Amino acid sequence: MRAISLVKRIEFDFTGNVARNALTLGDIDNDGCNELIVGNQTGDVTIFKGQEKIQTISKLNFITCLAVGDIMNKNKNVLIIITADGWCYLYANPENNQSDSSQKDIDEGVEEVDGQTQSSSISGSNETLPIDIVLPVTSKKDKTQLVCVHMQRIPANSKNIVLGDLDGDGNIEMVLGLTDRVVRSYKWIGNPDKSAVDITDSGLQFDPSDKLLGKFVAINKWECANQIGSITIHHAADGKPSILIAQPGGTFMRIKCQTDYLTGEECIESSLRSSSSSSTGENISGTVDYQFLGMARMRNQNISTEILGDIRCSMNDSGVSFDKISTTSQRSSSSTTKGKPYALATLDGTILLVQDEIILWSIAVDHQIFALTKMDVTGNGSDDIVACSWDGETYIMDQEKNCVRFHLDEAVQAFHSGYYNLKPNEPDTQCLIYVTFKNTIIIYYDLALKELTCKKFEPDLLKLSELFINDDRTPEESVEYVKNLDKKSKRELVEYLLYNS
Amino acid sequence: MENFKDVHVFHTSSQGNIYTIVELPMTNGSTKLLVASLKREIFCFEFQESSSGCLIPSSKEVSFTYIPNGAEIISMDAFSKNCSSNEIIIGITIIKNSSDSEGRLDTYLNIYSGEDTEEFNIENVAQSCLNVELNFIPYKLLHTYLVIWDDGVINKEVVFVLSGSDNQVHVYKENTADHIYKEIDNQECFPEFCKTPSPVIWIDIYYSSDFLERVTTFACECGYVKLLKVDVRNNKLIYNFSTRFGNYISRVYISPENDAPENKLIEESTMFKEIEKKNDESKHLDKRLNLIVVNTILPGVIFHDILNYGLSNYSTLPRLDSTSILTCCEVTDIDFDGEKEILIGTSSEEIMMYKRDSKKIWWLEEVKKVTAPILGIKCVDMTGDGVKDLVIFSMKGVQVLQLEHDFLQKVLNKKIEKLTVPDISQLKI
Repeated sequence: MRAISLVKRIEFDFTGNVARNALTLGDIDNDGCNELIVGNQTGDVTIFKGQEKIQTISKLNFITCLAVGDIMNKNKNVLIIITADGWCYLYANPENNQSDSSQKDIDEGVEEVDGQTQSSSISGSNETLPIDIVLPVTSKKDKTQLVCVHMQRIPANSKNIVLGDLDGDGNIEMVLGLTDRVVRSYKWIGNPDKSAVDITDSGLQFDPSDKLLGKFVAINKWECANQIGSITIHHAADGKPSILIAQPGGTFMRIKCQTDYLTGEECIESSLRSSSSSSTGENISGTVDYQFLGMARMRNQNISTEILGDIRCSMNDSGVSFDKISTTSQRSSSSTTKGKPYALATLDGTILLVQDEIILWSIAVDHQIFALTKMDVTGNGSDDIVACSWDGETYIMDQEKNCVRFHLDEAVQAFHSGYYNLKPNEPDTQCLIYVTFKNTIIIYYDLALKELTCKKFEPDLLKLSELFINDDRTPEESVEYVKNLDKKSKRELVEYLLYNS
Repeated sequence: MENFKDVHVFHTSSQGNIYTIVELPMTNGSTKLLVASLKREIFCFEFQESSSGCLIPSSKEVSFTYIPNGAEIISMDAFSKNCSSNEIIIGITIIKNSSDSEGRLDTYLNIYSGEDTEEFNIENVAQSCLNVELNFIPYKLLHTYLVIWDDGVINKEVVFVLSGSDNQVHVYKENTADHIYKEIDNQECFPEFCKTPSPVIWIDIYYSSDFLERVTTFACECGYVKLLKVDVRNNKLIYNFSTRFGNYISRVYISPENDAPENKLIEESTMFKEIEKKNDESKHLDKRLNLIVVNTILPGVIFHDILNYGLSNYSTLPRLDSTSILTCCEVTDIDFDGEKEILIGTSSEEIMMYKRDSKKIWWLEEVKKVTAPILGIKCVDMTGDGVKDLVIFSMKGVQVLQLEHDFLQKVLNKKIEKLTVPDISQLKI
């Protein structure tokens, strides 16, 4: 397997133990650039932007999950912090709220003409904002601090978090996986009366626990047979979302979500109903099935598993790439109707790429894989899988099973890959982020991997043939001559041209 | 150097030294690398090609016989007996605590040779060993031709040259009849190797293409550098220069200004004759030799045109910082502009590239960062595609970098155009 070395890196000091999911990249200040957010066992959440630490939120409890997303459905990213003892905090950037939400509201007015119920609340807030305060992004050099806008009690011991639209209403829901094999989904319900409240109003004093802006409402609860490895949201070929929950031994549970459009009120109703009776709950929860991917290799049924859904294929050559993989021509002809692939990795070092419950390929490595992420490393439009093991071995794989590895000479307690902004006014760069056991966060950037495979240099024969066009040889004959050169002469010719002419 | 991209990083379990990387040239134009590490392991690194044309890196630990437990490898060298066969001779010097209680150190030169087979098999070579016991601690091991002119008939034989802690340079020659290697007397064949003030760290030997003259340079631990020219026919010194740098010298390197294409190639192949016709103007070869001396602490020095000026015409290669140790150097044309560049590797994990401007002044052009302190740099064709790859031997392993194909094609197009498009100024109406 090809191995690479990475040179460009930055290091941050960060003390404490970091849980697997207490590390995320996201644009929390809504300036279009990603920040790095890390939380530790002692309840400190630190936000890194560019080369520096911009904020530390402390005095929380053991941070287990961090996520950045538009959970309040206001076209504005907020930071969600879940602690082990069952508190959910929302942190938002007050200043950017003004500028960006107004900016985006205007955009939304153009784009989303189909009209969603939530837009009424936003247009309400829009009225309260003076439009001319739109700040240019570059002027936001002053460090904006996130403030807590909401806190709420939820069941304790969450270990996984996923944000995504599960019911097809355009709003984002939150799915939490708990250590007691339970998966719960929540929906943010804004307070209809106070939705126009501007939290930047310094005169307004409020306690985050007042639920002034709204609250999370539990929608569903599912119980798994075994411990949860990780949770991911996957969209099937028909575009319907499902929740995939990794189960030990390389298996997973799939919850097909019903995507009928539900308005906010209906949702509350149904969530209320679902808590009282299980039959109506099926309306939203859809169907649950277990998948035991048939595998040649004997698997340990107790080995923990990671799962990652919605791996993007390049639209142009997806048909071609699948042609290579699937042996039956009948399958490849219908490749357009196929779902996106998803990946599984087990702690014993098996990485699988699966599409429509058929294993496209699997590889076995001799390192314990604990983290599975995706990133378009090569920039060809399709996602690559980035997997990391406890001892720092990192695998970057494309969907054709080409693999490159990188070894960090240190043990890793949390890993993430994605886009991070190193310098303002520059696009985000691809990064591998490692939290080590030596109180540091190491970020490798500028991976510069255009291809995952390496080949010998092959000269352009047509160009090469120009050398041999002369009185007794026509261009066609010359091309033929170059084509018929044996390997040795071709190599010597290239060498001669490069170094001696 | 931004056109170089990683092909592969071969990891070694422990570090080697500046003497423990050696290339094994294969007849198909590719190269294998033999790398020894401190803990007695010797790895063979190579690239294979898959059916789809992808390069598959392969790393194999080779167990050489007669390297006992507890021994440490000091230096290695290898050469091909003749360039059209895979018959490779490998020399390895080892040091070992003696089994008796006196705490004596035993040192050996082990010479391994295989048979000429279609497929080169390193395992076979590793099993047949000839052993030479040394009574000094070995340093640099290299090979060179022993040339004997006999009434105008040239007689070439490859010998091992080994410098040692006894401040002398020893030459070992194979006695084919007895199938043993024996030390031969320096004064007869290599009059340039006399007793030096301190152990010789590095030796470089350059033969003129007609094998009538030999230029030898060597550098010692104390900073003493010697440059000699020898008339090969009568083994007389033509000139003898020496200088003292006062620091540990890590490398001396004789580099011809231009590399002549192998004459044999052009003579044999009609293909090359055709190109040669088009390329006639550039063929008056500059027979200038430069000597690069890499000083560990002080800046590197380049002595220009040593055949004419000896050690008197020199310039220094500016350093980037004053805290690193310069360990190695390579001189080759990596950007295909027809002029050679100097690459110097340092202990501070960087390669410094020096380039000569139009006024013939050397400038530090570029610095490339790597991940570990560098022990050696080589530009060899690892894959057999005719393009030299950059091989960096560091404390962590061997990193192989390849030039980007788009860049190579662009260079190639330019070179082809130069040969095919007629020069307007030369045209006569």
